[in-house]
Amino acid sequence: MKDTKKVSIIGIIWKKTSDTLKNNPVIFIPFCISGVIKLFGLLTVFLSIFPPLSVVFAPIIKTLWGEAYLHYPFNFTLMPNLFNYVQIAVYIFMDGLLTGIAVWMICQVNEGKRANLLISIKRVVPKYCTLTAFLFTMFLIMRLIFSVENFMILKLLKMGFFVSFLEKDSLDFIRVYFNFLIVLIIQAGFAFVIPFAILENRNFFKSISESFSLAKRFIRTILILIVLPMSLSLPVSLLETRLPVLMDKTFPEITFLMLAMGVILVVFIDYIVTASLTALFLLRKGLVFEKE
Amino acid sequence: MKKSNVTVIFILFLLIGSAGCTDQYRSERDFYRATKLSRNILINPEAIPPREFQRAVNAYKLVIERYPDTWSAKKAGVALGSLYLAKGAYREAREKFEEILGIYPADKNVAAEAKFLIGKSYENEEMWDKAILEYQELIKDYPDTVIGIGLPMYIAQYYEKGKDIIERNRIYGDVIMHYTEISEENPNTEIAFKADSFIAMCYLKIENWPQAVKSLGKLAMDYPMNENIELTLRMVEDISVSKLNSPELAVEIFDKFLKEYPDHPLREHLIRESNRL
Repeated sequence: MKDTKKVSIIGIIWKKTSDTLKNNPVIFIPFCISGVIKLFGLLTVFLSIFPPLSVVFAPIIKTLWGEAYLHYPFNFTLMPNLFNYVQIAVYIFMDGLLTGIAVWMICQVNEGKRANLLISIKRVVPKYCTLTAFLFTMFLIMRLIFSVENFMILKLLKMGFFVSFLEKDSLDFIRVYFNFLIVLIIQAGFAFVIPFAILENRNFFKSISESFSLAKRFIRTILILIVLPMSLSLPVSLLETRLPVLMDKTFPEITFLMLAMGVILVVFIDYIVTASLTALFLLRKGLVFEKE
Repeated sequence: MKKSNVTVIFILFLLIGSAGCTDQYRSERDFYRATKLSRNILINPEAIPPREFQRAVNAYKLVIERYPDTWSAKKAGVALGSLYLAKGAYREAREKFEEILGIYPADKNVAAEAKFLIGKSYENEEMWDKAILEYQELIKDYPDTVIGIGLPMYIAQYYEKGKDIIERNRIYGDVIMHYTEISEENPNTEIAFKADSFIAMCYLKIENWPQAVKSLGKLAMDYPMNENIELTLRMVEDISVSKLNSPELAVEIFDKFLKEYPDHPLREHLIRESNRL
């Protein structure tokens, strides 16, 4: 008689995730590339007010935000806004491809093969449009939800709600947690779109529908796999709501440091989340597991 | 990733990062730091220890010496004098402001500010006769600066204290004449707009409501897209209704405005208000 060994799925997945990185550090490269591109973007934002970049960017900044933001220290006040646009662009146009490359390499390692960056790139590039479409869709959904949230808050503020929160400056803090929850739920639903597209060659719509179906089966596991690494970014997000005060109490350049720190943190978080969700995807058929 | 690649990227970061900062930027940064040091001094100059005061002074002097041709150096010069002014060291303050006048005579705004603060230092020492001389020179030499245009109003507000109505009307009457002259000499300019705004303010001050409504109406007609247009028209309505008991005055002005500017953004609001009145 065969004993069915019940094992903790979360434990197995995280062990696989750390072993994968330890034995195949090349899998970390796509995330590093994303981080480096974002850091270059941040540097470009900082240098946008100096020659030669100011030839292009200074008139844009002056028109959209005002002359003051071309000068110290107001350039740092505007920096998070401008960097947000950079991050959105990298997220939509690069992160899908880079995550797809990482997913393919993780699959190769799982099958006992060697992870090869160039082969993975050749395998994944044909799927670039589909991968970009996934992230663009996620971005649009988040954008829509945040717009509705802003609209509702403004309406409620006009009616007199949240006034005490405003007085205590708590509204921004609460919004960070709320937005974190929204991102968490959307990520959970879309957790397997890239593995389905890359590893099982599903099209755009099939990947999304199967990802949502699979997510429903493993929802608690997925939420744990996502929330624990992502919660590492919460302190940085909370501090970012207090950047003007922080700038005044310390020095304006702290904005640049905080944003850079956020990028580096996200590189690790993205790896952990991608690798663990891919591991779950690959393990989903073969394991009996106990409910946590 | 190879170690050499990481090193190259790191060096690239440093090179790109250090290549950007211009003198202008560095002067703004150092000026900001000096301003931070002087913040507490300006709030409570008596409570500041001499060492902290000297640190702020040195920080401003650094900006002036290192970046003499920058906007920050000019501001630092004025700020340095202001530090002495706040501390009650009026003679030293005036010396600093005179230095500014000597170094930057071509920069009207900086010169006007320095001149005004010289006058202020005399005011603080209750030497109004010397202060008024400085102010009058300022009005003559720099009439089209922000400080220069507002100074007649400032002087009138000084003189009106403790005066009766007749004397107040005379003081503000002189000021209105001065601004009317400026407005006529510089039609459709920023200066004329400011002069017309001060004319309206003078009429409000002496509670000459019919003239106040007339001057506010003229301001709205001549400068329909100024940032305070909504406030201007609201004041026309408030004064017409509450002070003159003649809402038809406001309606007349609104109708004239809408006839002249039928596509103005405030069109709907003005139609609503006209109907209500």
